[in-house]
Amino acid sequence: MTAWLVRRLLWSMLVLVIVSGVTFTIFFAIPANPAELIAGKYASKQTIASIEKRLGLDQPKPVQFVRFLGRAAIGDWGFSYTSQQQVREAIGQAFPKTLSLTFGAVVVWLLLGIPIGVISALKPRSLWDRLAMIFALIGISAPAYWLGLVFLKVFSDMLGWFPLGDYAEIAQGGWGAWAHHLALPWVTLALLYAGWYARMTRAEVMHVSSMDYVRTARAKGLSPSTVVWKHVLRNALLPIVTMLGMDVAYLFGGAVLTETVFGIPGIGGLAWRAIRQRDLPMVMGTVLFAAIFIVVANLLVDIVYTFLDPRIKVEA
Amino acid sequence: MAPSVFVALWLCSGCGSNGPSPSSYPPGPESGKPLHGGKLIFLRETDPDYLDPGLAYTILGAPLVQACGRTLLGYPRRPGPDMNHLEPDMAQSMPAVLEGGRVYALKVRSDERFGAPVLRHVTAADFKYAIERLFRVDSPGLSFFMNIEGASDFQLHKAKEIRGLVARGDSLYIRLDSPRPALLYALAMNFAIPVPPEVGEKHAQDYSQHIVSTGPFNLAEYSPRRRVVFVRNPVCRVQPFADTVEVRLGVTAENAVAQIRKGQADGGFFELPASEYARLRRDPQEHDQVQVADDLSVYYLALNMRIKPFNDLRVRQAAAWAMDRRALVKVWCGKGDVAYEVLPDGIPGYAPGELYHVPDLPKARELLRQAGYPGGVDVTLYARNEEPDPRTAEVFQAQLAEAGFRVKIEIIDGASFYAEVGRPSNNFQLMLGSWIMDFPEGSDFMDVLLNGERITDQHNNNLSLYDNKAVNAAIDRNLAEADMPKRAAEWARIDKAVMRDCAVVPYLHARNTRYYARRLGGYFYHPIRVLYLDRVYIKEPRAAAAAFKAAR
Repeated sequence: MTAWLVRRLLWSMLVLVIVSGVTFTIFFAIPANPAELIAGKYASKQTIASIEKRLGLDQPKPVQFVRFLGRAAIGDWGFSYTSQQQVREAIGQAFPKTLSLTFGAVVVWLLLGIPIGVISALKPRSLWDRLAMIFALIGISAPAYWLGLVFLKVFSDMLGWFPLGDYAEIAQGGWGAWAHHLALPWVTLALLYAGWYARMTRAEVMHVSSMDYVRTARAKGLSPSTVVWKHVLRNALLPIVTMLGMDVAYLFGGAVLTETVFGIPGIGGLAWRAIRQRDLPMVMGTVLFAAIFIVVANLLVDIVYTFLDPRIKVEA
Repeated sequence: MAPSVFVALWLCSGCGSNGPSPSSYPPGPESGKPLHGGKLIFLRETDPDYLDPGLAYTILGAPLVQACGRTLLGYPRRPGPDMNHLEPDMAQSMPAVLEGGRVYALKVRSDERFGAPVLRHVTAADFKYAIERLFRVDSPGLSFFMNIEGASDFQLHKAKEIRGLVARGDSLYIRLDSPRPALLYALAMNFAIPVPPEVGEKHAQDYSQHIVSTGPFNLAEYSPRRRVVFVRNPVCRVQPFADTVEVRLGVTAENAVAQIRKGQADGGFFELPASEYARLRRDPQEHDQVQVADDLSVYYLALNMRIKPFNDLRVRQAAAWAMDRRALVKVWCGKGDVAYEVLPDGIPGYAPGELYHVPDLPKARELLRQAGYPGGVDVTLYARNEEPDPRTAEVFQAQLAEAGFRVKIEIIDGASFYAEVGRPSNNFQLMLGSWIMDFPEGSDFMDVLLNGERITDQHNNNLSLYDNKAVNAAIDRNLAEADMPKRAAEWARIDKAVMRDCAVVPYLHARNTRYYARRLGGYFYHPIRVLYLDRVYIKEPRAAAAAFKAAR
């Protein structure tokens, strides 16, 4: 197990270096010089050269990349070119917001998606099944920004039940205000994923229900609920866990559209603004941050597998 | 508590305003009795680029920077026809002009003080430091001060200070390389807001977070992507109505409009979305709350005069005759006036253009035929990926096609657009250009956009690469002209010469739109300052005013 873990960690670090390299290359492939953007519309050559020197952009690209890696390895992710904030500090401020959004949305979509999928699978071609699949289709098809705008219009603007965007810190407004501000973003984000999870759960439950061991369990006289809970769901959830791990890690990198529509200052908005402003340190920081989560989530999913299905063993 | 009651309370908490309803206030900016004190809430989607006065360079950031900073010269803090005229602000009087316009002498008022934590008198040395600091932080405002004697040496690190800037007590002397009356406008820009050296040096990299105020407000908090909070600066000579102003960041324009309409916010720094603009203008309750003002800008089609086919005057004229600029106003949802000249109305020297008013397609085709393109010509038009540029490009494409131009559209990302079109070596044929003034004077348009001597191989603003020796000489002469009416008349003459050469095809002078809550009073659009946060106030509600009258 230890050797496997060490090997996986080394591979993970290599993945992060490759991700950084690709991001770095793409950044400089775009025809825009951050120094020119900072210098303003009247900038002279001297001013641009001076900014390039100050930011280290006058160095050869490989040198800049190696320097970045060296600093990143010791936790120094640099300063934003535009806000002059430390990248780590900016990410540190944005992450709790993204975490709050993701956490609530995951709870909502699991509470919606899995029961709907199970009911739908257990009563195939029934009215429930058809309604559930229509719900899934709507959830998958409706873009998050559109749903968000509709929710804001109806529940915030017309009915006045929820705030018009914004984010409330727990420290300032308490848990109630925090949840109140996030309720609509949670549902918006969750509906998209709930649709996927309902369909996935339905397919997996139907597949597992047709297996011999499930038939045997039924033949032994076990109650239908026991068969579903103990024999079907436990196996049907394996691919769901894989998907969940990846989705959560992906969302930790920022749900740009939902964050933008609801004015949540999370990682997604930070990354989006950095890309638009050619803010290299912030772009590298947010991409690397998201990549770390995806790599770690992969690792965790592999470990969780061994607990969910004892037949799977980690091979050193 | 019953669960339903809890849910009802939870749903209603934090999303309504606590004060009287919006309809309790009289509409419009000038009605209602001003209340002193209170907190104003403004909204905007993006962060200000910087709060550091040496670095901030966006028009929507101006009210925030100027909340904490004033300059030696300024503009009237009241609406009116003279609001673009310079007047002394932190200076005792308008500067004395010496040595034939090469030297300006100003004196700082004796009652000007820095806010907390510095709390000392502002001296001329603080202004000198602020201008020299622009060179240390590579400010986008450098070019406005490059005419000061010794500025180039200072930038190249050949001198320890700018020798043309002399500070003695409260007196500041500015010596220029050559007479440039436009320097006075530069002294009213945020780049010239004084900075105390003791704080500027300590926070060289993050002065945005440590602003020392000379304005009506002190900066209490700046949390990027969350909020900027200003509180009254008690030592400032200019006292605001409100005690606190909070600017909430990250609020989309649609959400901002809804919050203002519901009375949850007082105003914002954003352009009204087209759909909201039309709806609010139609709504009798909200009509008076929408403010429309001239941007003092010009949007134009730049035609590269160095390469084919636009190096031929007849081809440029053909393009101008083919264009129906009135259609463009529709693309802009009515937020602008048709432009037939470079200088917008409001800039001294504005004179309505006389050429190419009505499209004349037969004439355009004939000019193209005479220029050697009887079968038409292929050209490429470059535009930003930000609305309404792509739609504008499509309208031009259709209109120019009628005359024989086969236009291919290339869309470039907004962040890199000006860097790309600013490189003459790219040989772009047609470009959608725009310019919003930095200060209300003709040189900010003519010298920047049309002086051939200013063409550079990088960051070039003369997109058409227009280089007419006579026009260049006229611009250079006029830059030194101190007689303002004479100067304005000359800008008008140069504008007409440029139009005759068809160096650019202006199509729109844009208007901007703002939306304010009914409880807010005292707002007016200032073309340079945008909004004076110290002049806006909360109105006394109607019921309270009536009760007060009845009691008396």
